[in-house]
This record gives sequence, C-alpha cells and structure tokens, in this order.
Amino acid sequence: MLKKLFYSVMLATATLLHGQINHSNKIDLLIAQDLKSKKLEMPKKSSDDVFVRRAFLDIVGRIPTYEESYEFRKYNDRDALIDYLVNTQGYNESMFNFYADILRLQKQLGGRTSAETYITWVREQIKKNVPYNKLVKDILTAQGTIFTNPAVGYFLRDEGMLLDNVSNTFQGFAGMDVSCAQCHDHPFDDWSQMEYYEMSAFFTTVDTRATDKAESKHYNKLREEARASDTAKTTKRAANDIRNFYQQGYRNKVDSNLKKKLTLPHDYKYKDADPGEVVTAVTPVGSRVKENRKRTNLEVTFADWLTEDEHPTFAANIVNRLWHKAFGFGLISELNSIAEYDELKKSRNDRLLLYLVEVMKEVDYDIKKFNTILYKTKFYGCETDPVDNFQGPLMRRMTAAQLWDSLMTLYTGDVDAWQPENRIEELQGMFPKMSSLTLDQAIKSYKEYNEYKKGYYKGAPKVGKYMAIRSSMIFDGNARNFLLEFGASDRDLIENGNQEANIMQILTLMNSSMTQQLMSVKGRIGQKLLDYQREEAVDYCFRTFIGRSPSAEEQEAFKGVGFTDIVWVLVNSHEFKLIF
Amino acid sequence: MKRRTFIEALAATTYGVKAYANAPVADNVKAKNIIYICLDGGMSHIDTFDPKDDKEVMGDTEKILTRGDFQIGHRLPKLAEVMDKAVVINSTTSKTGAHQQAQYLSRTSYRQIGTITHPALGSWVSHISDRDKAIPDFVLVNGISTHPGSGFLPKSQSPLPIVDPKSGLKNSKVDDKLQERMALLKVINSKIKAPIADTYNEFYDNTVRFLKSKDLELFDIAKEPSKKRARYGESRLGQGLLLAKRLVKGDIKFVEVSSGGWDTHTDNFTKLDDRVKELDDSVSALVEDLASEGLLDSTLIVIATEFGRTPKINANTGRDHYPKAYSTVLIGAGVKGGMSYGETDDTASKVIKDPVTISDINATVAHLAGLDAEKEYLSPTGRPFEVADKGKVITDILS
Repeated sequence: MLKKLFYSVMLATATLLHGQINHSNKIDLLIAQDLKSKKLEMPKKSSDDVFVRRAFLDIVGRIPTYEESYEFRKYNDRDALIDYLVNTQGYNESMFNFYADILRLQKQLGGRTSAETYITWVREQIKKNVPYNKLVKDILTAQGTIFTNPAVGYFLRDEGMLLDNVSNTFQGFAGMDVSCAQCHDHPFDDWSQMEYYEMSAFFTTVDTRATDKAESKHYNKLREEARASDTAKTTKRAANDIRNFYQQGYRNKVDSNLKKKLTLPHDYKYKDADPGEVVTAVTPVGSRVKENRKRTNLEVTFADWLTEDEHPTFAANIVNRLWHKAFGFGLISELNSIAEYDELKKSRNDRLLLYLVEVMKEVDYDIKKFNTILYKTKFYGCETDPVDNFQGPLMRRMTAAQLWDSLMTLYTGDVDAWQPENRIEELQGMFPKMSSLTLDQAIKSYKEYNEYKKGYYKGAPKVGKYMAIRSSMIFDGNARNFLLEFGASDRDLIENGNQEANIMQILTLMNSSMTQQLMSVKGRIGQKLLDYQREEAVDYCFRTFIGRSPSAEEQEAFKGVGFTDIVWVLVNSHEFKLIF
Repeated sequence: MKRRTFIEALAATTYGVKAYANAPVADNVKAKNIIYICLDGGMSHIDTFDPKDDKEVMGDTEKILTRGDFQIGHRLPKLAEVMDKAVVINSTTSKTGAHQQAQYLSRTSYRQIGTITHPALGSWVSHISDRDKAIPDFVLVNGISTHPGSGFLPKSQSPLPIVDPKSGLKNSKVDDKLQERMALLKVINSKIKAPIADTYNEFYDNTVRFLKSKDLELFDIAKEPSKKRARYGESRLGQGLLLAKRLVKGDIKFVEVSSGGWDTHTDNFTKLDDRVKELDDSVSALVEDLASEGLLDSTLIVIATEFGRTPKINANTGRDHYPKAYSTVLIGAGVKGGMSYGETDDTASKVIKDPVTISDINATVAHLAGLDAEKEYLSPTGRPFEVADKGKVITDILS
C-alpha cells in the first residue's frame, strides 16, 4: 500500500517542483489535509516571544540573549530570522551534536587513539554544508590515515568490530535495526542471518591496519630497544611510550585488502550454507548489487547503492531524524528503525513523509536548505502541542545540549566566541616517518605530542569548574557528566539520548554550583542589572531566562524579592527548561 | 509512564509477541535487599578466596582456616570469621579478559555489543519492585563512568549515583530559602497546564519532600558513630559499604558499591596488602553490622569482580588478567553458609568442578530477589531478553 502511495506522491511532486511551488507551503497543506481528515484543528500561530526562543533553541541550540530577542521583536520577520540563524556558527554547533549522536563520536577511537582530527573534520564538513549523501559516502569509502584523511575515523571508531560497525552503519544511515540478524534470523522481520552476512561482506576488505611494512618493522625494532632499556632501569615507561606513539600515529591506516573474505560463523545453523563458508557480498534490499572485486572496491559498491535515489530508506532516514530535531517527534517514532525489511513503516503522515523524501532529493541533500524549508513552514511557527497529537511542534524539555548551551549563553553572552582550532596539519607534523626516528627521538616526539594534545582548549573561557564552551566541544570531564545527567546520548549507541526527568537533575537545577554562579551578582547578568531600575531589572531577568515579560500578578509577587531568588526561581521554572 | 504499564506498552509496539507480567512472587523473595560489590580491575582469586599449596603459584600468600571449614588467603582474617554465613564460588569462568567488557558483563550478564545496552541487574530489581518513591530503588556508590545504567529499561530505573560516599548525595544541601523560592516558583509555574508540566511539578514536590524527609539522612554517613565508621575502614569501599548499610536499612532494594585498584599487573602482593585489607575490614564490618541490626537474613551481599589473575607471577611481581577461573562470594540472605562451591585445579588455573558464569551468579541473585530468571522480556524494539542472559540459577547453593 505504501509503495503505491509512494509513486502517486512522486508524480505529484514532479509536477509541483516543475511549477516552483514553495515546499514549505506544500508541507503545511499536507498537514492541514491530514488534520482535516482526522477532524482535528490546525494549531494557532505562536506568539513572537515564544517563536524567537524556540527558533533559537532548535536552530542554534540555545536560548537567545535579551538583546537578540529584542532585535527580532523590532523587525519581527520570521523568515529573515531563520535565514539568519542557519548561517551562524551556532547552527553548525547544533548540527554537530546531531551528527555526533548518529556517528557516535567520542573523544577516542577504537584502540584508544585520539579522535581529534576526525572530530575536526566532521566540524568542517558541517561548516561547509557538504551534502549529506556525499558525507555518508566519504566516511564509508575513506582510505588513508587519521591525518591524511580524518574521515577514516568512522571505521576506526569500531575497529575490530566489523559486524557492529555494519549494524550501526545500517541503523544510522538506512534507519534499519538489523542487529538481531547478526547472530540469528531476525525474529519478527524478514531478515536472515545470511543476508546480514552478505551485507557485512562489503566491509571485510576494509583493512584498518594496512600500515606500511617498513614502518611497523621499524616500530618493532624500537620497541625491542625500549624494552631492553626498561629492564636496565626497572621501569617500563619507554616501551609503553613507544607503543602509545605507534598506536596513535602509525598503526592504523585504512586501505582495501581484496584478499580478505568473510566467512559464516562457526555456529551458523541454517540449511542454506555451512559454518565457515565464504560469503559473497550482496546488498540486502532495494536493487540487489553484488560485489565485483575486479572492478570496484566493495565498500564503494555499498556506498553507491546506499546513497542512490532508488534506495528505499536512505533519504527517509535523514528526513525523519531532521524532522524529529525540528519538531520534537518523529514522523516514524522509532528513529533507528523506520522500516520492516525493505518497506517503510507506517508513518504519522505518509504523504508528508514521502513528499519530504522527494524534497530531500530535490535539494540534493543540502541539509541547510532542507532545514530552512522545515523551519519556514507555518506549522513550525505554531504553538506547541502538549499531548503529541501532530497539532504543532511537540512541547518538550530542552535536550541536555540545549540546556548546557543556554546556561553557557547566560554566563558568557556569546557562547560561540571561542572556537577550537583546526590542528590537523600540526598533528600530522608530530608523526614524521617512523623509520626516520631513533628511539630517543620517537619518545621525545611522543612527549611533545602529549603536551600539544592538551592545548585543544587553549584560551577557552571558564565559569567555576566548567569550561564555558558549547556542548558540541565537550567529550569528557565534569561538563560531560552534567550532559549525561540530563540525558545526553552516551554515543555508545546511535541517538541514544533522552529528555526524561530524574531527581538528580532537579537537585542540580536547585542547588548546584551552576545555578549558584548564575545567581551571583558578580556574574554577567548581575552586573548588567546595575544599569537598570528595579522594575526594568525584573523584566530583564524574565526576558533573559524565559523569554517574556512578567505579568502584573508576577510583578506583584516578585516585589521586594532579591536578584538571587529571582534567578533561582526562573532557572527552575517550567518555562526555562521546556520548549513552548 | 507508570512502570507497570511499561511491558504492556512494549508488547503494543511489537508484532504480537507475548509480553510477560513482571510482578515478583512475594514469597519467592529471599533477599529483600542486595548489596552488590564490584571489585574493578580484577581481583586475584589466588591471593583471596582460592589459595593453593603450590608455593610458586602463591608467592607470599598463605592459607588460613575459616569458620566455614575451608581455607582462604591470609590477608582476610576478619572475613574468615564470618565465612560460616558465606558461600565462596571458586569456579567462576568467563571468556572476557578486557576491563570494560568484563565490567559490562558482570553488571548486565550480557556480552557488550554495539547496538543495544542491556540493563544492569540493579535496574531489573528496581524495575520489578515498582514502588512509588522519590528516589530510585537502585543506588550506585563509587560507580564507574561506563556503567550501563538502566539500559533499555525506562530511565526511571537508572541508578542514583553517589560519587563520594563521604559527601553523600550531590547537591542535596537544603537552602533555608527553599520554602520561599518554591512559593514564588508556583506563581510562575501554575499557569502552565500540560502533562509535561505536571510531571515536573511532581518531581519538584517529591524532591522537596525528600529533602525535608528522614530519607535524606540515609545518605549521610556522618550520622554513624565514629567508632563504627572506623570499623568499616576509611577507604572508599569501607565508607561506601557503611552507606550501603544505611540505605538498605532505609529499604533501598539494590546498592552497588565499586572499589577500584585491583588491576595488579605490578607489585601484586604489596598492592593487595592494602586492597585486601580494605575488603576484609569493610565486608566483615558490614556482615557484623547487618547481623546486629537483624538485617542479614533479608540482605544478600555479593562480592563480584571482572576476572581473576594469572597463577604465574610476572616479571614485575604482578599478576595479569585471567578470566578462565576466578572467585565470587555470596553472603547472607538465601544462600547456604560455610560452603565452598566449585573447584579449580592445583594451580588455580582451570575449573575442574561445577563451572559457573557470572550470568549464572546473577541469575541466582535475581532469583533470590524474586525475579524469574528464565522469563523473556522485550526491549522497546521488540528484542527478547532474559534478566541474566541464559544464566541458570545455582540451586545447590540456595539455603
């Protein structure tokens, strides 16, 4: 049934696109039709105060400052605001978190090597607004070292875990959870274990340790030397250092090794093949493509197949995730599982989803363009829906990242002022050809590298024990714990975050040093208030934290209440942590 | 969502697969409370609960006799006195010799994979207990950062973390202006009418009630007499176990206490002088304390670790990772006392009798807590899981 609908929408889209129809309007139309058929009302337009706050949170990941929302109210042009926001650094930071949760970006890759170059590379791709299909292709076909082509970080992330990597690739980019079939036929889906292995076979030839023989030979020689010197000194520092140095800069080089083959597991129990049998790579759904080792690298064949327009879920997957980011709910609610076998699951508005898929292809996977279309819909500008009825964006709590970035905006006024440097070249320079180094030189280089590594956050502003920087730059430490406490994705699994409440969050908002810092009259906001009369000061606080002026009743209630108490109340209010 | 409806909701999202009711059978519950000790890094089984005669294997560790009529390492004199209440399992075996994977395995009973997070045992127990409390039924003391938490279970079953037992629950100091501020907060919040606002109202009310209640004192070990604190020892493990006792007394179902520093690749014996003493002091104190409060009959203590250590002493007088054979100890509610279960060979390098996995042990703990270890539960994506993987209850050790 869905397939039939798919073609009818495709035809309709083709004509519409030709006529240069405004995509945002068409989206609104499809939503209105759907609501009408369900006898539900179209939601009301939100107030400007509410809109500007939400647009900032969704598009640039933080609340606006007093001054920013003032500026908007002066001109009051929603489309202009959106055009402005998608072109700020804040948009890139917010999108980085989005991608980082899909790519499961952590500080370290498998084998504990630093992910700095890979992280920097992802940041750059977003900044350049590289088309999404190209981005995916780039990471799935990357070859080289973490310096010459940081995109290899995607394979190195799961080094030694081929099958998990393939499951995650499929879940992240095709929206299909096939991990069950890793060990047995999928219990409720049509996926067989054989199909899973046929798909995985595309990545068996990706060799993550294709290191130059001369280099590894020289490393072994230095390691022996180091061991000998360690015994003499009864410590094992040198051998450890040289090993870490090698692991960090030399061990992993990604290249094709067409000799490698995938075999079925020893406990394979189905009749169609025997345990240990070699598997030929075949794509599992859509157009069935087989490996051709003579003509193309296997992973290239897979990436081409995954990103082609005819793929049943590739575009729908990213569409659904972006819709979820903008509106707080998925058109298909399980973001990591949008299809059964090769067919999309029923969505909350099939015509809309299929239309959006066409729009995504039409804009050539230009994510910024696509986002702009979503944010410029009237539907986005409506009041939020408190009960998830598809009557407006979902009323929801800020994500951990939105909360953090908003708090840092309150502290600093401009959380994007500090940016980490792109140090890929410098880092590469710290790992010259291994075979050119003596043991002493290698150890000296390693120590220099270790020192240099710490400099990533050089010059970052601080507030108390925290660095006052974007959540998108935080990968460990106290700040990371704060993010995890508020439900940030652990990035072990794809998009694994949540916005559920717990008592630790409440205690943090009530009593933590974070709140104390905001309440301090010496802080940025406290200082700002010195310029204002009492009533204006209260208004400034309300607008700064919750984006609106106090009502007459609130003015009355807050009469005589001190600055610290006002801030405490506002930080703990629903209107601060919820998105309306 | 109400916890009880969770499994039903799961069933609704899957394809006709039957979900099972999750209420425990009341008279099945032998261990009302569980204190689960995780010795991170990998405790040497040879130098603690599975000593041998072979001098080459033992290094400087000697054997002493216990009240359980079996022998343990000489660094555990105080625990030797309470072994009549314990079953020592010397036949634990696994294939996982890496720290993080082994920590995951011991907490969830499952092998770590990249596509799903399984719940820690504490979250299962908390999930099943299904009680309306301000604080979760699962507290994690000195926890590791890679803890699996509630896995695919609702986040409400995530453990409440205590980073440092001496400073208690983070951010729980009550400000004397709390009342006043809460009143002002109500003025602002009252006009928001939405289910999510109701949820937060409830959380704030519960939190304030909790902050004013006696329950908060459960987290404050300063309330214990200094003599007792000293008896447990000043180590993080000691103070953590004292906190665990207070929590159990306050009827928190599951307290997991971690203790690091067991990864003795170098100087195994001098390091164990400290580590094992901490273990000996604290666990013996806990057993005595629980017994004197009448809680040992309803509380089960588990001493678990990642893996054992090599019988061969390495060049740095250390022992390396050894998953093939290691020890686990259960003390108190529901288990036989004075029992040594399973056996390794003369060099503690191979299990030769009654091999068990950590999943079997966790299944046994789950069983004593009133969970059905053989029932299937469905994850939100409809994948079927058991509480302790395929773990089988070790019936021989049940009292």
